[in-house]
Amino acid sequence: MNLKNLSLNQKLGVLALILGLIALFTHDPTKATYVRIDPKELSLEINSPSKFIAPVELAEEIISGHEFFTLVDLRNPSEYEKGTIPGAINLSAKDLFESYLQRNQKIILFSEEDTKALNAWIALKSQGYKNVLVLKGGYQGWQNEVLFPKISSDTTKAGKEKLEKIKQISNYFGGTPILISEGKGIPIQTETRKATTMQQQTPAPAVKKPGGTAKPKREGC
Amino acid sequence: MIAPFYKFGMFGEEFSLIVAFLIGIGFGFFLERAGFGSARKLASQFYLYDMTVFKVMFTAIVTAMLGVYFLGVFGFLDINLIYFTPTYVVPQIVGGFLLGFGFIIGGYCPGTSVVSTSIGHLDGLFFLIGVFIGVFIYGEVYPLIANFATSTAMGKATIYDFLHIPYGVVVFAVVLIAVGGFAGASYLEKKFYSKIFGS
Amino acid sequence: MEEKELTNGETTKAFHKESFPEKPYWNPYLAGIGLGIVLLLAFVIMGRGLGASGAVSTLVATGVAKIAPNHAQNNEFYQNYLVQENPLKDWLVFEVLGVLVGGFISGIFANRVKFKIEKGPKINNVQRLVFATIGGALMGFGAKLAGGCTSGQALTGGALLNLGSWLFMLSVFAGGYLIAYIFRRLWL
Repeated sequence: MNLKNLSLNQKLGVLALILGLIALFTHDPTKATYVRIDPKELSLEINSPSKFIAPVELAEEIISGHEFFTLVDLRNPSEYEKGTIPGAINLSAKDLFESYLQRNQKIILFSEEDTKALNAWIALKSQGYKNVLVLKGGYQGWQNEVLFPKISSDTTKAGKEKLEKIKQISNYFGGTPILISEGKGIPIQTETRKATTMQQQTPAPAVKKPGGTAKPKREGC
Repeated sequence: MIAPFYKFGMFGEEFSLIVAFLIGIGFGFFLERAGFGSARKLASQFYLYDMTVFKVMFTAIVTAMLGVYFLGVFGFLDINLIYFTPTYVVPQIVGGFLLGFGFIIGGYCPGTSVVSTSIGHLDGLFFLIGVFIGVFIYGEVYPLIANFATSTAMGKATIYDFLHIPYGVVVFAVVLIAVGGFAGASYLEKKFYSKIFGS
Repeated sequence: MEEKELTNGETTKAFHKESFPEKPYWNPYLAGIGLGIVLLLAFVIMGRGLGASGAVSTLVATGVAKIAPNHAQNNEFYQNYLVQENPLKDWLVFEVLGVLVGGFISGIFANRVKFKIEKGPKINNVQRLVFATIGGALMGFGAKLAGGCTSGQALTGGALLNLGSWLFMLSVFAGGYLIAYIFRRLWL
């Protein structure tokens, strides 16, 4: 068969068939097996503190609402029901890959403490997820540093400003700072509820536009 | 992998709107070149004497499908990052039939009515106004039909996952069907043209 | 009867000859490859496909929110399109503006920009415009139910081998062929 005798349409048809035929013998491009991971780089990252985000930092990001990220609560559904960080979604470690999380998305993981979240971090990283962070200290860290931070009274002007800021953040999420005086913790506000009962019913605060819950941008029709 | 560029943060939201405009220009240009600004040309697909719609659509699908597939194989494009419209089986079939009816009655689809309007066809503009009315009606009755509209959900579903056939095999099959379809379409065109208009 | 058919057929033929002479349309396969490459560029640059009906939804939702903010607030469908501060800064809205420009550019270079109403030979202008509006409304409704139109579902999803999009595409053709004969008076 002489190629020159074919019309343009026939040549295009032949080209498409050849490409289709090649496709038969190639590996599946949707499988992530060829995500190139540099083991050296990964182990360096595992040991670096840059994968952590401090609770207060996260709180500020949620309040500002500037950046879109997905907050993942890795604890049991029952713990999640009792109280979580506003905007967090509840996924088990094994559901991580089934979910709609995408490799280029900013993902912040937390569990009760660090361990579970760190394991999930390694799993995601090894699958080529680019932008994954772990909440330092987990949900406990969140409670201790954002919801019910322990503060000692400070009468200097700078100290007062700092306290005011901590208090604002804490109140924003429905918590309250605990004043430390003579080794005893007293909640700063007049409410006499104990911190422990409060954490049970951390109210969904009137968050204007939390970064975590902002709907992702629509992409379809 | 470095593509899709936007999803790897190579540019921001503002620039993406410029990209949208430029891509739209390309889209509109080729639709018009193909003759999709003309309702009669489009409708003739359903009277079998001019199968341009089928030919253009399937050529575009095959081209983009092969492009996506091979760019993925080369490790340039991460296919998992491309947005997939979730599947709702029954609403999509019912919606598809409504679109088919609308096509015969109105002569366009939403995209081609925009092209038609751009080259001055008043019927294209009226069709477009109709689309606005239809979307508005849908919005107003949505609370009543929300359950139906989100029924039979399958999430992100692909032909190859659903049938458990390798992606490459489906690609080959689609190419085969398309090329065979083109030959068949050309045959039908000749036959029905002389049948409808005389030879 | 047969003679009449022939006359109509001939006027149709004459119409074809008169109205398509400006410059011939492109070879459908080349136009298709052009479209396919534009679609591929959208995938590579943006990670999303093309669309048309989504832009209409955004405009409708924005309009409703302007006129009756509370009403739009309580409607989940409209809310989907009102996520951003300025809903009109939407990708599809800009894309459709581009379609308008692109179609015009192509039309100008092919001498096809003309103010006219396109219709079959057996109906008048008013009938054509009424049917166009009804067809548009059917399509607007159907496209929203199906989660996209010919561009967003059939083309985009077709190229990605999206199961729902292929079911949708087959349904569109099935629906069209199903009633084509009944409505042949509109076109032939």
